[in-house]
Amino acid sequence: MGVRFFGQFLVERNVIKPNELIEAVECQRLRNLKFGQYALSRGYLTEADVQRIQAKQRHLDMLFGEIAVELNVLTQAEVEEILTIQENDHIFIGEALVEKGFLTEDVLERELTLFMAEQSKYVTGEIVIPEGVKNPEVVKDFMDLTRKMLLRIADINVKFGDVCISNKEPQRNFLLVKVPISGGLKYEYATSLSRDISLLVTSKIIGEEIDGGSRELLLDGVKEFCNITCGNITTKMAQRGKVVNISPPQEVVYSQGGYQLINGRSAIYCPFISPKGNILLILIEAED
Amino acid sequence: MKKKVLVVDDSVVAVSQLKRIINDSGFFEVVGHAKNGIEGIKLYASLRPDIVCMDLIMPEMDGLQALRTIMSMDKDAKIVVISSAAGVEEKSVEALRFGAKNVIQKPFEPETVVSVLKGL
Repeated sequence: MGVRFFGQFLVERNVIKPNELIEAVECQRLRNLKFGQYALSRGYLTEADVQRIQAKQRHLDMLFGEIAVELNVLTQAEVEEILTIQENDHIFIGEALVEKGFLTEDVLERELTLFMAEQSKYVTGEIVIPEGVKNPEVVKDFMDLTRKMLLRIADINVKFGDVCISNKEPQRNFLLVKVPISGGLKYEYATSLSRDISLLVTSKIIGEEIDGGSRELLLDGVKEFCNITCGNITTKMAQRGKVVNISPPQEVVYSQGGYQLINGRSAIYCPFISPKGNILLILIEAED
Repeated sequence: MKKKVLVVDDSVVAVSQLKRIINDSGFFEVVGHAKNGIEGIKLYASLRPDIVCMDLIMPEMDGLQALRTIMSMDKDAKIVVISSAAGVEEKSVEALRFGAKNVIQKPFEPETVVSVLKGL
C-alpha cells in the first residue's frame, strides 16, 4: 500500500464492491458543489462571471474566491459565507457509503481507524527547503515520499542531506532515471542511484536476491521504483488539489559531454544519506 | 484447476514480482505477460485468460485504453488494475467504471494480490 484515497482502500479490502464505490462517488459529485455553483445558485455571480474567473484561474495559482474578490464580483464576506455553506454541505466518501446503505456506521469507524493508521506513515515530516524554491510544500512531498518509498519498497533507511539549487548537470552515477510530470504541476523528477542501491531496489521489488544482475534488469527495477514513487506523489498532489499525470520513466544516458538533464535550468538537488550507497533526487521545474 | 492469469505491465521487474506471488499462491498460474496495452489486447484474444492484472502507466497504449478495449471484446473479462496511480481517486474510479473488478495500488502486500484475485 501507499498513499491512496479511502474508497480504493475499501474496494481493495473487499469491504465494498466497485459499483458501490462508483455510486457513492456519484452521490458525492451531485452533493459536493463547487464554489462557483454555490455562487451562481445564490445569485452572487452570473455565468459570465464564473467563466471569467475560471479563465483567469488557468493561469494563476489562486483560489476561485480569491480571484472573485480581486475582480470585485464578490465581497470577502460573500466568499466566507459560501465557504461555510460548502463546508457544511460537504459529504465524505464514507458518509456517502453509509447513506447509500453500503456500509454501517460501525464498519465505517473501524475501517477509518485502519486507514488513518496506514496513511499516518505517509504524512510529510519536517524538511528544510532553501529560500527561493517555488512550491516548497510540493518539493517537501516529493522528498518525503521518495524517502518513505525507499524504506517501504527497498528497506533502505535514509536521512536527508543538504538541499541546494544548482544549474549544473549531476555527476556520473550508475543509473539516472527521470519521470516527466505534467498537468497542474510540471516537473521532471529524476533519481540518480549507485549500483548497490539499484541492486537492492530491484531485488526487493522482485522479492528475491539477485546475484549480480544485468544493467538492463537493474534499470528496469529503478524505473519501476520511480514509477511507484511518482504514482504515490500524484495521489499526494491530488489530496492537495493538484491534478498531475506521470509519463513512463526514462533513462538519462551519460554521454561524453555528461548528462543532458538540467540543460542550464534551475534544479533542486536533494541528496539522501545512506551507508548502502548514494541516492540523489533531482527536481526540475519544467517549462510550459 | 488453476486459473489462468495474464499480466500486463511494462516493467520486467514488476512482472517477475507478480509472477512469483501469483504462481506461489497455488490457485493461479501466469500464462503470459505483455509489456503494453496493445500486446495485452492481442494476448487476451489468443490466451483467453481467466484474469488480467493490468498496469495503468505504460508506453504505446496505457492500461485504461486496454481495459476498455478488452471489456468491449469480452464483457465478462475479469480485470484487476495494479498500478502506482491506483491511489488517485479519478484514475481508480475511471478504471472501475470501465469494468475493472478491483484496483490495487503499488507498492502492495503479496497477500493483497492473492486475496483480491481469490475474491473475483
